[in-house]
Amino acid sequence: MYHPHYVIRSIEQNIKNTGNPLGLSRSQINTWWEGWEGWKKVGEKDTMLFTGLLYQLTPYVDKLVDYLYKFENTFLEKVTRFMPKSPLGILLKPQKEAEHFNGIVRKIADSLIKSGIDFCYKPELDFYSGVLLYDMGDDEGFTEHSLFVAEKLREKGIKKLITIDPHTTYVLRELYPEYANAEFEVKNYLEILDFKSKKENENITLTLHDPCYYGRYLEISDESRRILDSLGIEYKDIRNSGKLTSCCGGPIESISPKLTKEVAENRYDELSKTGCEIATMCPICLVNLRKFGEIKDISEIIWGAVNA
Amino acid sequence: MREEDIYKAIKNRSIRAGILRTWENLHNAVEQNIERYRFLKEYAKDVKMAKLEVFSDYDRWTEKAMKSIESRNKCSVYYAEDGKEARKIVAEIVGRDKIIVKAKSMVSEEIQLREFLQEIGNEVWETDLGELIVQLANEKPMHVLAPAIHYSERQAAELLRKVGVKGYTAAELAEGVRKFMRQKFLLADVGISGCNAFSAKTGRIFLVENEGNIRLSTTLPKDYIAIVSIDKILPSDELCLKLVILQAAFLGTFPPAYINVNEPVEGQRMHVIFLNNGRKQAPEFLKEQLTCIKCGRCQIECPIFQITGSLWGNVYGGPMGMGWSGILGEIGYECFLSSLCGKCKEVCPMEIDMPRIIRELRKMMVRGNNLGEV
Repeated sequence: MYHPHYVIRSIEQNIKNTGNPLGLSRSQINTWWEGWEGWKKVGEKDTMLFTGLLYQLTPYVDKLVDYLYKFENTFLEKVTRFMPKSPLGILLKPQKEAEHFNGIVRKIADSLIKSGIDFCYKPELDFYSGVLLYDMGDDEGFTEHSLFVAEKLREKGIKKLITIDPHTTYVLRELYPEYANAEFEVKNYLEILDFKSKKENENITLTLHDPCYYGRYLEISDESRRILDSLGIEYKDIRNSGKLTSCCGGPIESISPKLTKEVAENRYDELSKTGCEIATMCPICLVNLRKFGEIKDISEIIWGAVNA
Repeated sequence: MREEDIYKAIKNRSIRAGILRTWENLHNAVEQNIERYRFLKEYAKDVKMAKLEVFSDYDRWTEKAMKSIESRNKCSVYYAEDGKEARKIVAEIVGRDKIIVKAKSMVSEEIQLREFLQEIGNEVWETDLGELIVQLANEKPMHVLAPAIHYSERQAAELLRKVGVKGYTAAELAEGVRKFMRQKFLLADVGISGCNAFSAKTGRIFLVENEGNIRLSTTLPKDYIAIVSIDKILPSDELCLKLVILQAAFLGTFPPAYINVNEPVEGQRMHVIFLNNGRKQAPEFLKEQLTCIKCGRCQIECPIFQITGSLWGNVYGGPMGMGWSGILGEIGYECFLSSLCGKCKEVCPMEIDMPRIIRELRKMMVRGNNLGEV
C-alpha cells in the first residue's frame, strides 16, 4: 500500500506546479488537436469542449501504475516517496498509447461535429479538473485548483462545457458550483450526441461497462444506450450495469495497484461471460479492464458506426 | 487493519470465491424480496427516521430503555461507557470456571468478549455454525452475518474435527455440530447474546436468526447476559420487528426461521448491559452510519470487499466498516482503499451515503494531518 500521505502530497505538488497530477507539461499531454481536421468546423463560441485531460493523461498514469504495481509491497515501495514528480513522462513516453487515447478524443470531437453540435476548443483553457484531490479528501487543494480553473474559463466568457469522461463531468457539474462558485452548464457528450436517423442493425452486440459515475452519481447510463439504439447497435446488459454497475478498481490504483488489478480482473470476468464485445466509456476503466482482454471505448464504436 | 492483511486477502482466493458464491446465491432473493414485499422500503424509512430520532437524544432514550427493563423482576441493568467497562461487568456476573454459550454477536466482537472470558478462565462456545468455525480457526468473522463465508466444506470439516465433529458434507457437519452443541447448551452456566433491536417501550430484546442457536443460548442457561449497544434502541416493539424483518430480507434469508423476543422470565437471571462505545460521541457526519442495521449487503456487493472480505477493515470490514471504525475511533488509512464507487449506498436498505462518510473520514485525516508516517 502506498501511504496516502505521500500520494496526496505528490498529487498536490504536481497540480500546483503543472496543473495535472503527474507533473507533466501541458504541451506534452494535450496534443490531440494538433493536425486535427475538425479545426475548420469549430469557431469562437461560448460552448467549449472541455476534455479535462483525463483521456490524455491516462496512458501516462497507466505506465506509472505499472511501476507502482511492481514496487508495491517491496523495499522499492518506499523509494517512490522521494519522487514527487514522475520521471516517466520524460523517460518513457507511452507514444503508441498516447496516440490511441488522443485518437479517442478526436473521435469524440468529430462525432460532436457530425451530430451538428456547435462548440469551440481552446487548448489553453482545457484543464485537469482536480478530481483526485477531491477523492483523496484534500478539499483545500481541490478548492484552490477549482477556483483557478473556473476563473480562467470565466475570463474568456465560456458559459457551457461539453465534457467527455465521467469524473470530469461529475466534478464540473456537481462540485464546481459548490467549491468554485462556478455555474457552467455542463453536458456530457453522450447526453448531446444525436444522429437523428435510425440506422439498421450494425451486426455488433456489446456488453457495456458503465462507469460508476455515469451509473450512480450522474444517473446517465441510458444515454449511451439511446445512442446505440439510434445506430442500430445491440447490447446485452448484465445485472451489474447501470445503477448497479461494478467498479473497475481504478480509483485506488495510486494506493494499491495490486488490489486494483484483482478488482479489475473480477469485473472483466463478469463482463466477458456474455461473450459479447465489451465497451466502456471512461479512460480509467478502459486501461484497467483491457489488461485482461479486448475492450473498446464506446466513442470508437459510435464513430465507426457513424462513419461506416 | 494491518497492511499485510490486504496481501493476505489477495493471495487467499477462497475469500473471493466464497463471497461471490454467496452473492450469486442471495442477490436474486434480495431483489425478489424488495419487489414482492413493497412494505420493506417503507419499513426502512420508518426505522431510519426512528433511529435518527433516538440519536438526537441518546441520553433520554438510553434512560428510557434502561427504565423499561429495570422495573422487571429477575433483571439487572447496567450501563457501560466502553468495552473495558462492559468486560468488567460481564466478569463480575460470570466469574470463572463457567461454561458459556454465545450467540453470534458483532458487539461482542467489538469488545473482544470471547477472548476476554477465555482469558479469565471460562470455557466459551460460539453456537452459530459459521462463528464456531471462525472461533476454531482463530480468525475474525469474514462477513457481518456470514462469518465463515470463505470456508469450503472441506476446510470447515477439517476445523470442526478439532472438536470431534465428523463428516464431509454441509448437512453432515451441521448435524454433528448440533449434537456437539446440544451438550454445551445443557451444561452451560451462562448464555450471552447481542441484540438486533431493543424496544424502549417494553424492554424487549429482538433477535433474528436461522439456526435456532440463539433461542437455546438465551433460554436454557440460568444466567443470560444481553449486550445492547445504544444504537439498537428503538421507540417501540413494532419498529423492532420492522428492523429484524429488514435485516433478514436484505441478506436474502427471508422469512427468517426464528425471531426471538427476549424478556425476563421465571427461573432465569437476566442481565442487560447497555453499551455506548463511541456512539454518543460520534461526529455529525457519522450519525447516518448509526442507522445501519448490519445486514451486510453493502459488503457482499462491494467490489473491494469481494476481494478482501473483512480483512479490509477493523472489527467491521468493508464500506460500512469504515464508518463503524470511525465511530469506534479506530479508523486508519484503510479508508483510502475504498474506490468510492457508490455501490454500497445504492444497495443499502437505509440508503446510508457511505462514500460521503468515507470521504469525510479522509478529509478528517488530511485536515488533521493525521495520516501519520509508516
